[in-house]
Amino acid sequence: VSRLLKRTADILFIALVIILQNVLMGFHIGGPIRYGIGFVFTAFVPGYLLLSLLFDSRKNQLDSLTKLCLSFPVSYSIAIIIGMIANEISSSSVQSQIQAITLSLLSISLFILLMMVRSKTKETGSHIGIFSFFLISVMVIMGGTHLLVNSHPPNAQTHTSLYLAGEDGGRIYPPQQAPKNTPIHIQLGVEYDGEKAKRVIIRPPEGSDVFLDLNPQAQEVMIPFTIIPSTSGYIQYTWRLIDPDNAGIERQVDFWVVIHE
Amino acid sequence: LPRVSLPGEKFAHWRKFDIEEITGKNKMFEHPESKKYDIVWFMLTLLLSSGFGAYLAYNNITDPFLYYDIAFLKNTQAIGSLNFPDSGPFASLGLAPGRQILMILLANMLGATPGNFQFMPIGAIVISMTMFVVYRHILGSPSLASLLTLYLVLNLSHASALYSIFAYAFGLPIFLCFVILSIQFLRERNYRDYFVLLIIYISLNFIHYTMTVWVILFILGVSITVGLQRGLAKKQPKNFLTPAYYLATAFIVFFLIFNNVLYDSYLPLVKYETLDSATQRFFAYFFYKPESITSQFTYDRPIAIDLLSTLTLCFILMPVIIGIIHDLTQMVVNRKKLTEDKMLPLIWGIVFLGIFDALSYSLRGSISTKSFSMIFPLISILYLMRTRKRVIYYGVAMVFLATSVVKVYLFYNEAYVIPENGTRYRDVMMSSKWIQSHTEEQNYTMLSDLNLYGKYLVLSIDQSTRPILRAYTLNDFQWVINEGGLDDIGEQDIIAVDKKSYQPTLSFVWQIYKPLSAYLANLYNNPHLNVIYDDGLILLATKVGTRE
Repeated sequence: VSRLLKRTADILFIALVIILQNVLMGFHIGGPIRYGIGFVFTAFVPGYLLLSLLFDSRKNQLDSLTKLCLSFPVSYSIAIIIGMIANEISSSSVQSQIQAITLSLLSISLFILLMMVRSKTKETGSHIGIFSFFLISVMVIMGGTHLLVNSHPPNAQTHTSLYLAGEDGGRIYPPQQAPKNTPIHIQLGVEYDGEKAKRVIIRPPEGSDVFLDLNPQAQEVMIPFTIIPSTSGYIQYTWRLIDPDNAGIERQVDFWVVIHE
Repeated sequence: LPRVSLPGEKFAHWRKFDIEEITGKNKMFEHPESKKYDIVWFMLTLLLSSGFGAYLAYNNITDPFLYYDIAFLKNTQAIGSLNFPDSGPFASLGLAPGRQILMILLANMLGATPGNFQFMPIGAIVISMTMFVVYRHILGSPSLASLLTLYLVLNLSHASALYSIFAYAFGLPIFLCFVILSIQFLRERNYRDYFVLLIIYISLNFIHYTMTVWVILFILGVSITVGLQRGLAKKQPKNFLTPAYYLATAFIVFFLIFNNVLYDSYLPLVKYETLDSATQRFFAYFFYKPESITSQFTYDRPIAIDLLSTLTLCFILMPVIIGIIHDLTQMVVNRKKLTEDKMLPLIWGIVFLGIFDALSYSLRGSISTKSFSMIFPLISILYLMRTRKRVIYYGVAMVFLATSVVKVYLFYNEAYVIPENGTRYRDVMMSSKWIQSHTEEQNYTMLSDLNLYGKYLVLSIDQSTRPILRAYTLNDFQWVINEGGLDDIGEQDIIAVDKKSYQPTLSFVWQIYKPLSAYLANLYNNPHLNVIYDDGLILLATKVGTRE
């Protein structure tokens, strides 16, 4: 059993990866496991099978670790050539699926070939300890990237935005002119997605935060502010909005005003 | 494939690089002795590289040109088929179809959305593994291999191009694989290596032209060196390699026939002015910056970063230059030693690659130091290993790594690559939708920084309108911030500014200007501009007189 396991451990592991990947894809299962299995399936398995077929580890043509690591660039090369062939022969709307299926078929073919070669020779696979340790490490690292990129979603949609409006509700853009010690009436417009944004915190340039419950039926709310500039010159006022429903994302809007005597 | 039988066969028993041959009786390099530590060094390298990749991914660091690939990937996923258009923002991607296919395949298999896929540290993982094993083979020492691998992976000058899924992240591991297998092929002339080399080369042709040219130059350089060694030897040298001129020729022919980059993108740029500009830019490394390539609006990296980059380059190049001079002297003084040096083909192959790569870029406007800084550390250490003084080559390898670590600190401190510097997709979403609701035409021209434009391009895939980049020239930049009596900037539909970013404003091909966020007051006061949208993060403006 030990000898049999030594000869077949790597291909059994690969068989498991091929089966799991097809199950995950078939049932549209995503997440860290799909990241780990999918990466090994695409970027490792074809190259490893090809290198195992071509290079006999008994004759020290490529040592275990080298074969394992070089499997990645070789897999890239195989995936590109297979993808380009599939792209040429398939019809337009299903090319992505065709590429995936072709890669699966190629991996299975190489897998069967390797089984046949191993059954006729006494060739063993990569060192079992290194092989399993290596592949599991790669899978765990790739699975971890799923948690990473999803913990800080780069393409999360914003639920809210800010703008400045005058008393009549029309948008205003800096710089504005105003006399000293005269009140400036300005409105802070908050645009939001009524289904997603529920409450926001407004942090004005002066004074305390304003907690605002948003009406789900509306898409916009106007908050009036009055500022009385006491010094002349070029002054910048900043309003901040904190959106607790959207990972605490902050927005800010600046009001630049030239105050004259 | 037929077995190729060549004169070098009688030396086919040479299985590994014989490091001892060039290092005398120094046993420390003998591979089997250090083998038990291989996996420890390997795991250490992999974990540190992955960790750094994770850091970059978390901070959404990306190469600005990658946005084109991501937008194309998103478009392909949406329509379900792969078509390379002849015009528009995706026209140039048809020059590297293999890269797009690989990205589509990987994204589909991983079930990753394009937005997440863009920041996955795949490059950091694969490059660290491949580089480690290749360097370990060549240097015979896992610790040296680990130091040199970490030097590159942690190097923030190259990080955005290497750590995720940009062309170099796929191309560099394939190139390294080619290096190790080609040496094996030249030694053994075996069909296995030949077959894998062909697969690798063909695919590399469709990933990135730089790596393809590297492969051609490398195999040519190695073959010429081996031929030279054989020619100089009085009797058949003990060298186990056989030149492969026919393989290099086949690669060149394949490149000329199947790769249109040369005709569409390279040759049209070759002219005297670009060569002149390249020379000036090269001297800028040594702090000589002529007026013609700089202005008060050109972005100057902090002096500490420039100084460190120049010092690193000197550290890398000095041993190589001295080593080459020594080799050339040996050609006259001690030919036997030179002709029997088994590392020489590899070293000179990489030197040949580096010199011609740098010169080839010079015809496009900038002498490239990419190959010097990415793969020359290997030959630098190989030359230093000839001194047989462990402290020297380990010391220099550690200095290489230290420069990368210091760069992390410097770049972080100088707000060049730091968290929350610049907008993310979510910040641009609202303005992107706003543009869509105010634009009737299918395409509109956007004068913008490359990083910001890329986000609009990716977001536009879900919309009916598509932005076309109008990259900044110095004149455009000065016009937008209302500095100086300048020519009109001509027709464009919209000007987009990232108010949050302190990163330099990127234009096409080696032109970078100061961050526009530093000139917001000028922008607001520009009488030629109409601000039409401002949500605190993004400012959109049009030229006065432009129809809305």
